[in-house]
Amino acid sequence: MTDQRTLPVMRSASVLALACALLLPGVAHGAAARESTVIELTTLEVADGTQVTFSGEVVSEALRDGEDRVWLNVLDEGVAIGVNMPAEMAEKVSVFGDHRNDGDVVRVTGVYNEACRTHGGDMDVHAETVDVLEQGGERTLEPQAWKGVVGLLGLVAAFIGSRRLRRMRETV
Amino acid sequence: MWVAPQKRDARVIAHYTGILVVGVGLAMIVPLITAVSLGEWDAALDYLFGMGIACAAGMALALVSPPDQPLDRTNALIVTALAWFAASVTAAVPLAVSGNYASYLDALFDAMSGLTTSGLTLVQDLDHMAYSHNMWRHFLHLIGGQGIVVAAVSIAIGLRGGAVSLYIAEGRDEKILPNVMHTSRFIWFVTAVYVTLGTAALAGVNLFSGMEPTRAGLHAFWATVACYDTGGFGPQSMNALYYHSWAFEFVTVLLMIAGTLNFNLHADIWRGDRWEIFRNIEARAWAANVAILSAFAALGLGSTLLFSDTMSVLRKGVYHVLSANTGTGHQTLYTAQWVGDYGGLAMGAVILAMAFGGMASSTAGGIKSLRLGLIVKGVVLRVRESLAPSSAVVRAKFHHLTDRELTPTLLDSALLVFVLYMVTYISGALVGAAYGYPIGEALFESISATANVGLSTGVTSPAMPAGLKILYILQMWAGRLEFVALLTLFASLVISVRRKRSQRS
Repeated sequence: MTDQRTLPVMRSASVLALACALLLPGVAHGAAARESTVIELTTLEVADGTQVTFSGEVVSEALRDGEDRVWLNVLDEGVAIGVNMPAEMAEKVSVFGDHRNDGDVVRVTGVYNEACRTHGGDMDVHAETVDVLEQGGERTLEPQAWKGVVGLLGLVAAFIGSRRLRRMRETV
Repeated sequence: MWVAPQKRDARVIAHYTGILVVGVGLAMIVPLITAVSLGEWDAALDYLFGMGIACAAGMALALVSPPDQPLDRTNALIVTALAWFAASVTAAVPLAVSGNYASYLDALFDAMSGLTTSGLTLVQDLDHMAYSHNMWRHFLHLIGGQGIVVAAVSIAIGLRGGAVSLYIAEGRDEKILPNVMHTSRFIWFVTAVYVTLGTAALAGVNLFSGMEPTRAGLHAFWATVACYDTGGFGPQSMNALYYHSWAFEFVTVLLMIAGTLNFNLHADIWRGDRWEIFRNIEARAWAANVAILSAFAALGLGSTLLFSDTMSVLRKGVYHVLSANTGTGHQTLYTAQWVGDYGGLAMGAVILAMAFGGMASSTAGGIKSLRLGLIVKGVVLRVRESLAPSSAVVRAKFHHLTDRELTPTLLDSALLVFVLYMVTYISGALVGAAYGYPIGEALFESISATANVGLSTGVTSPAMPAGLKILYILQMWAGRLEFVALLTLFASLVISVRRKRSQRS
């Protein structure tokens, strides 16, 4: 038997339960999908040993770590972090960032180590998945001719000055 | 008596400063060749521009006075102090137009840091920087490490009248060979041997890591120069952490130690007198210093949760004590980890290692182990005097190249420099704290700048206040010249201004 007075309370509780069932997985999913940044990792804002997801540009080259693993250094907002992974996982990356190229932008998911025991205490991420978000490409580098003109004029002036200095030396 | 500089003095000073500035301009040929050979045409024009400005400005100064005028001791000190600043001002020009610096002040900061072999940096987007710009940054370590004057004297670029005075004024006291030109060339010869060996070893490590040959060679050369000249710049934003290699760290530690050895000791070893290094008070004081501070760092790291295993103690503890003590400043930690992860005792050991510094007549900075050794000897002497009968004559002897007696003059000189360093360390820390930085981090950074180390807790960044950038430039400059030359320059400026005022009134 249900008391008439408890009915509205039960109805409210049912609505609340339904709302929780529908909304909380969404909230939980949102939390899992939140990406970290390299700056957050390197400024110790993420707990040691947690799984993280972050994005950034791969710079310079893949560096060998033993027989079948490599390091990729991933740059974001001027700060880079080393990502350790199986060599075949790194094969997805085709362009590495340097003076001439912007490197591939990758999304890395892996375990964040504030001081990795297997790598001499280095801060790193051991990757579980790596996805290329954006293909890298050539950077626009335009030589500015005015610099060359000013430089050559300066060198000519210095040459004339050096001849004058030599004459002064001869007359002293 | 305070002697006011005359017009003739000013002209002679301008002439020699100008010659040294021309030398810096000519040195830009190295990054220019790098740029041309690697097809970095945008950067090549930066160096053509820089060369033109430096050579024209330097020559204009040189023409102010007839050449080969004699240079007295005071003027030599002023030229030396000015030359380091003028060299930085001109060396900064190609960096400032590279697009990797937010302002000319930031480029000047890096040029001063490069020449004084400090290694603190305000560069932006370093991972995309041209090879030629990295070549210049590291080449500045090479020129500054050996000394601007030593570099100029050894290639004989028009310093004839003032070579000896300038050599001494730069803080050099090596008389390894009969004249300064031969001694300067010997210093460069020793440097060339270490740089060749270091580059070969690190190139091997880099090739094994998978770098392509050109990059492997360039990175090896830069890391060698940065370590042997105890500079600390790196071509990647992650500094030494970029390489993820214990072999790389091991070779660089050997180079750091070679870089901190007194050139006189290098000469003795070269001549076959290997026992000198075991008898020398400076080498002993340095070894004791490093051993004690490494033990403290190990003890400190042992109490942390993160760095307590043996490998971490070696790679994060001893490595950073050596990097700090030799004045190199390579680091394998992120700046936030100094405060967040490293622990107070270990960080204290690194701070003391920076403050004490390596050996005199080397590329290292800081108070120097010879002075510390003499001060300790002096303290022991005082205690012995107190315990001895009043009629007894108590003496202290030490061995530094020859057997010598510890005189009050030697002890006073060591204490004076010690006090000047301590005052500068603390003053810089107080200014940093006044800008709002935590006092511990401000002290760390102030010592790092003054002792020309380059380790950073993150205070040094493009976003820091301009006033603090200028302060650190002054600290790096003063620390490299061990204060006397810079104080002479400022004193002569004050005297000149006063004299002009009194003439007007």
